[in-house]
Amino acid sequence: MSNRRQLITYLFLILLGIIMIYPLLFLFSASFKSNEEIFSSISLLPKELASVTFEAFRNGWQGVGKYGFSTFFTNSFLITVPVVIVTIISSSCVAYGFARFKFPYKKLLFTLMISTIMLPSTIIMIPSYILFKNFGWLNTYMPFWIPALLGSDAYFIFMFLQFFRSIPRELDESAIIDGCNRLKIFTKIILPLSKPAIISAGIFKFIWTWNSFVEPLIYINSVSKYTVALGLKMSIDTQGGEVMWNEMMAMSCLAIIPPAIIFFVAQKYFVEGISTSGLKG
Amino acid sequence: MKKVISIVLVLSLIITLFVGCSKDETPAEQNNAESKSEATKPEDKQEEITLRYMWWGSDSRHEATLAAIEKYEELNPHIKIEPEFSGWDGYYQKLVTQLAGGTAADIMQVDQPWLGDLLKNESTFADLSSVDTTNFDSNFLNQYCIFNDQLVGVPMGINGLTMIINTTFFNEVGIDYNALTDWESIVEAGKEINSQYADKYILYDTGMLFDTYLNQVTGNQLVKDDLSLGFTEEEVLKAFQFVDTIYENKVVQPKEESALFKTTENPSWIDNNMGMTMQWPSMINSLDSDNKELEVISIPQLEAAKASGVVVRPSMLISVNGKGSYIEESAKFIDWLVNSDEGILTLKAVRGVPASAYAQDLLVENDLLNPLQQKGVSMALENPRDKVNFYSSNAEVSAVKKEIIDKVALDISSPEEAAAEMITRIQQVVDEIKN
Repeated sequence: MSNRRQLITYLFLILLGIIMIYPLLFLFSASFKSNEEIFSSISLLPKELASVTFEAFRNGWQGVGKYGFSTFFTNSFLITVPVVIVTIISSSCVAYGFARFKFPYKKLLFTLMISTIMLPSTIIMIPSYILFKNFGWLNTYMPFWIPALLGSDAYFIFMFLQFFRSIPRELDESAIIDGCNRLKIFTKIILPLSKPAIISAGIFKFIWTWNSFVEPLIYINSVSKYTVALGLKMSIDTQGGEVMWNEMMAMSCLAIIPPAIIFFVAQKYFVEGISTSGLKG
Repeated sequence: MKKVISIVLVLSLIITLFVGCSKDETPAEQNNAESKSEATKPEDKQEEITLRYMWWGSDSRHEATLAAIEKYEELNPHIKIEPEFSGWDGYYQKLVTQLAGGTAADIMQVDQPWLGDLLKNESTFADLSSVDTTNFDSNFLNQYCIFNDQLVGVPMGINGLTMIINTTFFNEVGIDYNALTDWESIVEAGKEINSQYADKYILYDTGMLFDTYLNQVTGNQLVKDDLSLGFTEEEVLKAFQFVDTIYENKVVQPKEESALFKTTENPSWIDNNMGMTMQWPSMINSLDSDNKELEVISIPQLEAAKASGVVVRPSMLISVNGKGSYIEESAKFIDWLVNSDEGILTLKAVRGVPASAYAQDLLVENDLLNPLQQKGVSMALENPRDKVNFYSSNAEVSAVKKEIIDKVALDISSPEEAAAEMITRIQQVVDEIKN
């Protein structure tokens, strides 16, 4: 009875797995098909197996004119890597402040910070666009780096805060007895214990920044500064002209590789709990 | 651990410094070139100029335009043109944001129907009278490109509605498409074809049938210039009855299926299961594929039609930012693009059939223009309807109209209900525009 039940469960899971992963496989296989075939068949295998080449990858990588995907990938990393690093630094600092310090209007400030989580990003788009324009930051990567540096992600602050709260204050106190100051407590006790939180924040921020489309679209003008997301959109013109969908698909395949790698490498820490590791010593 | 943390902290410090330093440089890269020109003036006789040129398109258009820019830069060493190209989606939003924020490019590609909204602010676009337009049809320019005596954009191409025929389909079903000059014969032939082949439809409804039919019935704008409705309930009922007929009799693919696809991506069209579609000649290259032969014929007419329903318009305009610093230089570049042999031959037909007669001939001579495109455009120009005014192409009017047409196509409304709804709801939108 239990065997049979297990079998059914597995079958169900396998079926669900196939359904979930099918679009991804289709994306990959479509990069070997012709335009007509992409839209007229749902088969994973291209019609003419003999003529399968990696041409779509080669041509797609070259992009248009002077700018190819090597430029776009570099740009994406140029935005994403600093953003991830400074987000972790700024968010954890702010969270440490809220978690361990007493200061006037703490409650009010905390409420304000939390309320920004509820604010849809579309609402602040126009004011921030005007602000960045007045700073002369348009067509640069400042609009991505600076807000991250200033801890604008209330979500991550909240995440770190919850994490820090679960670290016993006794550890702080014993560190003070050992002669640590506030900064040392933060860097030597709190942060090392918060590895899972740091890594989750890093993964999330990486994937979000990597995939973001609207912000680069409105802040970046020059094609030489385009990110991968914009580069992919560059040639899609549904009004006229032929769109090389297979090249688009090929480049999309490459575009999901960095976030996928980050996720799989860091996923061990991602799910790791704190409670045990925090009290080991 | 200590090392890692200190490295991270130092890094963040460096980034902050870097951020602080580069602040001063960035504005120069924007379009305010005052500081730049001041710096270079003493040495150079001709100041260095950077023009920003923004357009949308697909690969072929990008490549040809980049090549043209390169040539122009060679001829004019003091001018640098910064290309800003992208796909169609999101282009309008970006353009509007930039115009509102005062960060728009010097040279912009715009779509003609946008002008109504864009020209509400004065001096959005500079007057381009300095561009030589002797080879352009002056009537055409007057209708579409000149507002308040100012040439706000130079047409890069001409488009006119035609029927694009998939001859492979008609050979297969054994019907002569040349006889299909009126709507009734199309409906009859469509019925016959669909009764023989269940998955074949004679007509591909890309959403333009209704407007064309209604225009032939009324001979009027959808919304007249004086903001009164250009149709009576009786007239619009006729158009909705037509929509109802073609969907009811499977003359077109059921809405449930066709709504999923944009024009060129519909598998039914690709697999030769659709015979003809009302389209712009500029779409011919993307509607074409290895497995079919295309042909163009003129748009089917109604018996006693009051107008032809054939829309002719610029496929796109090229305009110059009225608030830009280099209006004169931008106009010179445009002049070179549309009038010089070199410019025309490098740009080819990537923006559709060129609007200038001289450019058309030059391209055909050099075998750079698809003859079907030229044929389609000249056919449309034979008997065009009045220019579609801004009220009729207003985004809200179009949205309401599309919703009601869909209701009829999906059999949610009867043609009578749709006609009544159309009258009240378009009237509402018009009232809002009035206020």
